[in-house]
Amino acid sequence: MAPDDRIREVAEALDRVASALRELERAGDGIPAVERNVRRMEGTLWVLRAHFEPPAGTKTP
Amino acid sequence: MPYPETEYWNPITETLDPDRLREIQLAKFRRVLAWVYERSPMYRRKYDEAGLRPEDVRTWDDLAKVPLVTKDDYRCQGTDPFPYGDTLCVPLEEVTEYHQTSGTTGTPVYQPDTWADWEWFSELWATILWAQGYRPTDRVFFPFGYHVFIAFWTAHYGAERLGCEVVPGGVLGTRERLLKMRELKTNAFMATPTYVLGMAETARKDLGADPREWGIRRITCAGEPGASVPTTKKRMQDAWGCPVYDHVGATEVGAWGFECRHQPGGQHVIESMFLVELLELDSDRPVTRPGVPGRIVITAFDRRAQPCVRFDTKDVSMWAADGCECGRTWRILEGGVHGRVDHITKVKGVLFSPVTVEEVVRSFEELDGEFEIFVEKRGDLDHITLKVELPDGLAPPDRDGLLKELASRLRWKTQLNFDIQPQPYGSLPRYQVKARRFHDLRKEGGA
Ligand SMILES: [Zn+2]
Repeated sequence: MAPDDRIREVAEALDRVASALRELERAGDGIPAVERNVRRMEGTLWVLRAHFEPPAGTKTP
Repeated sequence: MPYPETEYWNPITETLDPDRLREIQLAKFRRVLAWVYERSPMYRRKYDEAGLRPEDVRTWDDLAKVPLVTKDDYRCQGTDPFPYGDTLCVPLEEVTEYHQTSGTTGTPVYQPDTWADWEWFSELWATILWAQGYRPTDRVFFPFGYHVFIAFWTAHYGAERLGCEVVPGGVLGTRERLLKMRELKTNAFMATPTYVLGMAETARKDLGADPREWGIRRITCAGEPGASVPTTKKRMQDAWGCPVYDHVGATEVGAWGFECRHQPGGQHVIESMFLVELLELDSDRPVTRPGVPGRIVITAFDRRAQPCVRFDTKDVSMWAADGCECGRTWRILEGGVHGRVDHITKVKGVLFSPVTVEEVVRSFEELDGEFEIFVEKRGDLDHITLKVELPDGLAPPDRDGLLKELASRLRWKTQLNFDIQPQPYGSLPRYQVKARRFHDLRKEGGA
């Protein structure tokens, strides 16, 4: 797989994880155990986005 | 060993085509510029005063319009939201970590981080340690209590992040730390250069042991420039029988550079996460030619609570002309950080850097490597004193010969005459972090 395809594939997978986390946050609304753990997972996700989204040319919030 | 064939933590960003890397850096720079302008009253004030709007920065040439930030700009801290005041870019409830600078050059800076920042910082360390050959099978020792200072916390979590087994060695004394390392067969550790040498000395003198036999495979240094000074590096490598790698970072910036396992004679900049610019020592014009010293100015692209944008570190380095065997496209700062801009000073009209003295002193096998330098005015003239420790029981002719040779090598390297004052072994201060061996009494008001 060409490096650019690889970058895009990773960036798109990250997007899906971000959506899944938002869904989890909604489902666990008001439950600290869910909300705070989602926050931590978003931290890890942020790092991966910092790596892969700029080279993929996708938008980072 | 898992991943023996994988040189890079992130093979994509570490080998990006340089033009592509510059494009990404500019995009990330513009993003963080908007972030701080919108969220930090300190940055907004500064940019408003300069008549700058974030959207004014479109090309690399526009960068010079962005005012530099220094430690002085953080003086607005201490107000609401306490204690970060106008430097904070996120609601206080998003902050999960507190750290601060040591304050050796003035008031300490308070550094908040969100959980995402914390993940980011340890990610930087994972990048560094991977490049230095750390792998998930390593057992890594940290001979420090981490306290409110950020470096060893983040290195700890970086090692953990890449899969190492991490052994914290705070609270213990040096002897107990060494015994713990030997007991657990740790195969790597991180410390300041001074402490790396001090630990080897304690192992030999107090434990009667040869640390080269302990199976330590690599050491990473932080906190002082010694691991980039060739003679200090050699001393450490000889003492422990393994490679010693340097890293560079700062509380306000992050861990932004490292020596890879190929030891290219300098430090790669983590260019996917930071913009490092070199500016002339006495102006704000950029230095782009290799081999020309400049002040290091840094932007951290992905930190959120309190990122630095064009932060003037007042450290000095130069770009290397050559790349590195490792294949990373991240540029190299030759010789790492050479010292502070305010330590590179004129003595008797000659440009003088204390790092040169360290290099000379540590090239003598007979000396233990400890020293202190004092520059003062005597009448109209600058006077430079060097205190060094001599080994016990040195016969007078050997002692005289050694001091003569030291004076001669110093003169050759610095063009200056030193007033060398030998001290008994063990009498100079020992530092674990932030060694302060250079005293310019002309600036310190004779204190
Ligand atoms: Zn390299």
